[in-house]
Amino acid sequence: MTYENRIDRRAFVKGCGRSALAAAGASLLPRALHADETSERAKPPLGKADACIFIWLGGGAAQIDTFDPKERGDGRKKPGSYYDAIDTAVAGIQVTEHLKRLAPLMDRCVLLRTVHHKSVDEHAAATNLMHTGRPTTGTIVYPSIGSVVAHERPAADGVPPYVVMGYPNVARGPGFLGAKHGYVYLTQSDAGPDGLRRPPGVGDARQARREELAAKLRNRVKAEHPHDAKLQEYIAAAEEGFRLAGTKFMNVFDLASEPDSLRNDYGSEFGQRLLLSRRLVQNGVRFIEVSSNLNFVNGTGWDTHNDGQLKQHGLIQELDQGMAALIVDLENHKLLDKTLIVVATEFGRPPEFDAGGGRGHQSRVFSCVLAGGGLRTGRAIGETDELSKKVASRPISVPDFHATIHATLGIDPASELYDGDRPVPITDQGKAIAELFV
Amino acid sequence: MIRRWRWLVLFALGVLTTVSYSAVAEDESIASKDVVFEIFEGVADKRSWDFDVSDAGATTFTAPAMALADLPKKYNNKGLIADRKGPFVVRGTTRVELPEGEYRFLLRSRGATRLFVADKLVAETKFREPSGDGHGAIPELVAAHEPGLAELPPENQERLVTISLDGEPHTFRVEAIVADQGLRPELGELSVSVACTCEAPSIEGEPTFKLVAAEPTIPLSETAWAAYKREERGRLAKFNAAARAEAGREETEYWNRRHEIAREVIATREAVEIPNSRGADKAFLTPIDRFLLEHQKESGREFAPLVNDYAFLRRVSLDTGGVIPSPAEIEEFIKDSSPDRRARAIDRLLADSRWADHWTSYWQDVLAENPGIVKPELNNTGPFRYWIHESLADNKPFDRFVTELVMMEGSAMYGGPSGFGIASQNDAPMAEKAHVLAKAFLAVDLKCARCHDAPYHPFKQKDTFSLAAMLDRKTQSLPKTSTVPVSEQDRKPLISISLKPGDKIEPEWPFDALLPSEWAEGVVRDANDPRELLAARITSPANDRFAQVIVNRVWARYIGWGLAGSPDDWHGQEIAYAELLEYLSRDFVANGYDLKRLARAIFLSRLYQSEVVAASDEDRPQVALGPARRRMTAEQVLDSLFAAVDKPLGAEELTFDPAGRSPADNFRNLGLPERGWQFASLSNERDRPALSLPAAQHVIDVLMTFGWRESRQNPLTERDDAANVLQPLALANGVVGSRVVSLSDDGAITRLALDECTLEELVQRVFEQIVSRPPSKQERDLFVELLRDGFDARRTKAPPRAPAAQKQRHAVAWSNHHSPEATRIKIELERTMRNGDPPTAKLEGDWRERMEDMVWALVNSPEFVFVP
Repeated sequence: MTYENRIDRRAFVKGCGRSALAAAGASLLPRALHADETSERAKPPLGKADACIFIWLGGGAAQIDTFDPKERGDGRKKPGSYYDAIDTAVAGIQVTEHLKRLAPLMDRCVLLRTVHHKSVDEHAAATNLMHTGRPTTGTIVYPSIGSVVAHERPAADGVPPYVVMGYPNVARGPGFLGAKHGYVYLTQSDAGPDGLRRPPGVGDARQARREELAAKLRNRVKAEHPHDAKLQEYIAAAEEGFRLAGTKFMNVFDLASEPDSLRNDYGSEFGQRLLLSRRLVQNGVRFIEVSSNLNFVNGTGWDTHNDGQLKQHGLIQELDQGMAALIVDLENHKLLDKTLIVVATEFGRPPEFDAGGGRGHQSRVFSCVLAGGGLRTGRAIGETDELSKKVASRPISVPDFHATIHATLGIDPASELYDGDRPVPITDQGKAIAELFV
Repeated sequence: MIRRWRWLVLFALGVLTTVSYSAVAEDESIASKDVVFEIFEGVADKRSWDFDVSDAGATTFTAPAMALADLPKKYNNKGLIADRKGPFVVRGTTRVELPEGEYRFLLRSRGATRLFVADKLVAETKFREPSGDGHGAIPELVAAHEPGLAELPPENQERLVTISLDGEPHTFRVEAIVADQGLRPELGELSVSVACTCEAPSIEGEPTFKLVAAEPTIPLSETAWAAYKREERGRLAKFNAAARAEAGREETEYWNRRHEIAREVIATREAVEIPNSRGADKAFLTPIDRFLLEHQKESGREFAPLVNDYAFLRRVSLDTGGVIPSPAEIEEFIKDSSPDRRARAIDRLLADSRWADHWTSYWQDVLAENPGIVKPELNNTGPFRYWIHESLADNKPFDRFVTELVMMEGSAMYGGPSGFGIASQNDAPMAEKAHVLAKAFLAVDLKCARCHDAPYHPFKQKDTFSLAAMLDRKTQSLPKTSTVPVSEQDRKPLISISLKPGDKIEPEWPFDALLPSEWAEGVVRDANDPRELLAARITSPANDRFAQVIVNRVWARYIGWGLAGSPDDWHGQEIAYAELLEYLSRDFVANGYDLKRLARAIFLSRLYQSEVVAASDEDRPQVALGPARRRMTAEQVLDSLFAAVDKPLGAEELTFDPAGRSPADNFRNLGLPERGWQFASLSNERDRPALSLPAAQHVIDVLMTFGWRESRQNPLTERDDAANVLQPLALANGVVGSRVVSLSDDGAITRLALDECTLEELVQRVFEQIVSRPPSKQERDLFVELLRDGFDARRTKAPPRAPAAQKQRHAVAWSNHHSPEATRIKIELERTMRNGDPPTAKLEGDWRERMEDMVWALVNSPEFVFVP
């Protein structure tokens, strides 16, 4: 093919005029790029879930000490699990003894035991890969899975589609999708997100006084520049923002209104975040990432080098309690089929122990978990070798993992996003795990 | 001079020793009143003082006292930031004459230090213990020896010794070892101070310790030490500017010759005639305006009305220094009665050092400057922001700037253009750099041609890798990861792929058809160096495209619309104002590629000084000519917020390793930020509360909401500036917004409110302070009404409260962040931070709240975030 034969996109843009582009670009260009796309490609399976709670075990959770238990090691020379394994509700699936509340709920879960990637065994690069599904390139910043979901499944007016409970980082960002598809975040379950929460000392009366003054200044600007689209857009955003911060949506963050017994079921701060997630899902938030790495518990969080291993069971128990409570709570609210719970991490850990009795990093095979979401649960996908060092069967790539999440939420993992005029498929040729779909 | 001494040495550990010495000859040649410092590089790295230093090549500088918080930079022979060979020794010497008596000396430092008096060692601190992991214990904070003494930074050391002096002058010498044991080349805080034991500690809390100097006058109090460090920053900026000018003198001569050549090249061209157009407004028309009117002859469009003086000053201040004008600047401008006061204001602002702050942000985006502060792996570069900033501060000729960037020399990790050459975890760093350079300086977009032939541009993947080969000075082999798999059964890509993994690509200029391949005689120094050839191809005066791209970039940034459409991709673009672009770019080339000269021509134009013409009106022929509406950039918003209330940013030092104990190759310190451009992502992908820097994070939240990128993995010129609800909310409810609004003891609004003045005057001053203009009558009435009640009784007699919440001390660092205590401290700090700056007690509470509400209303008016 020669250059002359190609569609010159700019000529095309000129011909259509700028305003036509937005409408035309989305439907015409992918076809220009991929011949007969729809006819050649089989329709992927799509689920019907409306929201995703993405539990992030930052630091790299040891699959061999959680969801893929093997023969016991000795914590020093002999490699293997650090704990005993227990049976679950699903015959043939065992998990670690510290997941005793989740074990009876295993029929609501899918264990993905052969997730793997080739990223450098270091946190930033691997975390980025697990969130965006792609390595960094230098020509484009890929959006996180949360931003993609927010983009594809917009929330209702007045509801932020994507909420992070944890610290901001690059991997969680919107990339080329732009700030509009970014997250609001909070670092404490009782704090509310910065920006949405009113500052201390500003009650209703004072806020009303402030907004009245601001409205007077704003209305003058608004009237003086009726044709100024940029100004008017900002003013509209401000007006919408004040409505959002003022509405009942902010009550979602008030966990005190939940019964004490339920709050106790969820447990620690991590559990409270999951309870808050359920409330957010009920109110239309699409994607919630919940970080589980309060290094209170064992010092290192899930990055259990050296002495981080000693109290790792505390972290596992916290995950167990919070996630089990969430599954039951969602089920009681009839939301489990509509809500996909994901447990993800940047890599796993090897069966061997380091000099300090902890574990290093292992990206060549590790476990992630799905629960609810209307999937065909109660199974494990993929097998590892006798010490969970290698994939034995049914490898799951990161794009496949992402494709499965997207498909569960009704998003075609092969459809395209746009970075300016460049089409970018949602996943890098990921295929959803077909047997999970009804 | 031989003298018998009796020494009383009291170490901080409580060991009391009495020592007798015979002093040897002291250096009496030191005449300066200043303390003379020298840096000796490349001493032995063996945790001992057992080495010789050579005087050769030592850097010498002075300070008013025996105290430093930073060091001058080192520059190579091109005037670029270079690395010192570590470890190096910093030695400060001065003659001090104190009245006879007994004195206490306080030595403070981060690393190994020795203090000598009359050539006798009197105090010594230990070598540091490097720490790679995070499993250490949180060190105790050292309590101050007396009230009012500046706090010792965490993990720093101090020694207290008591010495009897005889009233004669003596030589004091301090020596510190830096960059030892693979640690970063940062000095940290180093000080020697002295107090006479005869002096009782003052009841006001002013410490008796003063920094050692010929005549010690500066107390080691928190405020005086902060002021000392601030002055040191100014002093070092000047010293560094002179040092790099001197170091790069020969290089400057080369560039002067090149600019002669450039002038000759331009002289051979047929001149571009300035049209003789006359507008209805004959007051002043610069060549720019004449070209524009000529262009609009048929449409008959005229300029929009002249923008008013207040709006003009706010606009041009934002466009030069990136920040709104101070009330003093407004007053100077408005009181200037000369007819050319706008031109005078322009010249004042162009000479202001803040020019570099504003433009650094721009080039960070365009050049994808992307440093990470811990184990950077996300296509990260070195922090070459410092080289960008210095180049702009020097108004470096732009062809030289680009050449230095392409040549990638100097320091990689501490701010030189060599840092541009890094792309961590990228499979083909030089291909990535080729993409950045082509987009930035040639408006050639190789984005798609990075992994396959470009579908909508006439570029093949080979073009990208040919440039990469030139940059890398060798043949490139195409990595498999830089290709698109073609064997997919269910998709037939229409993109064309002409290279296979492993294909070899030679260094050669790929744009012969598009851009001229020749360069002017005398431009290239080493014709065998493909990298230099690339720099010459781009920056040659024969390359019109380069100058035009830069002129269009500056124009578009200031006017809001371009002379040639997109700033970074000219393929298929029609150049709307070709003659004007030609005129300006020739002027640019013939006058040494001078950015400030170009900016000045734009600022002086009738076009720039016109009222904004909204973009939605652009195509309506009856509409006037003027600059487009521009929202402030994220950095302008942030810097202007703090300028509006004259408060410090209050962010933490941008590092997880403030005490400099962790390996230099994994940890960076981007310093204490004072302006938006100095921030970087705090992202560490570990989600550990113990690693949070809450004050800095809140600032970054505001920056990101307004379009700043915490991760600049790719080059970008036009940021996403779409309005979203989080922008106004960040200002209205966010921690930074609340800090700005709060009338704490350290802000300008509090000072204004406490001043003796009428209520009408106060309202006017607050308007000028925040929106750079006086209020309209209605606005004045509105706020006079709000504040009248209780105005006369607003002042209380209360003493000032401690200023900002972020003053809380703690010793949490990477080296100890796994400890549960570290998490507890940081979570507590986050909570405190959310409460904002505590309000002043000097103003009556109810009135103060209404005053804060006025500030809130002004900051949250859309007027605040748009360039007028």
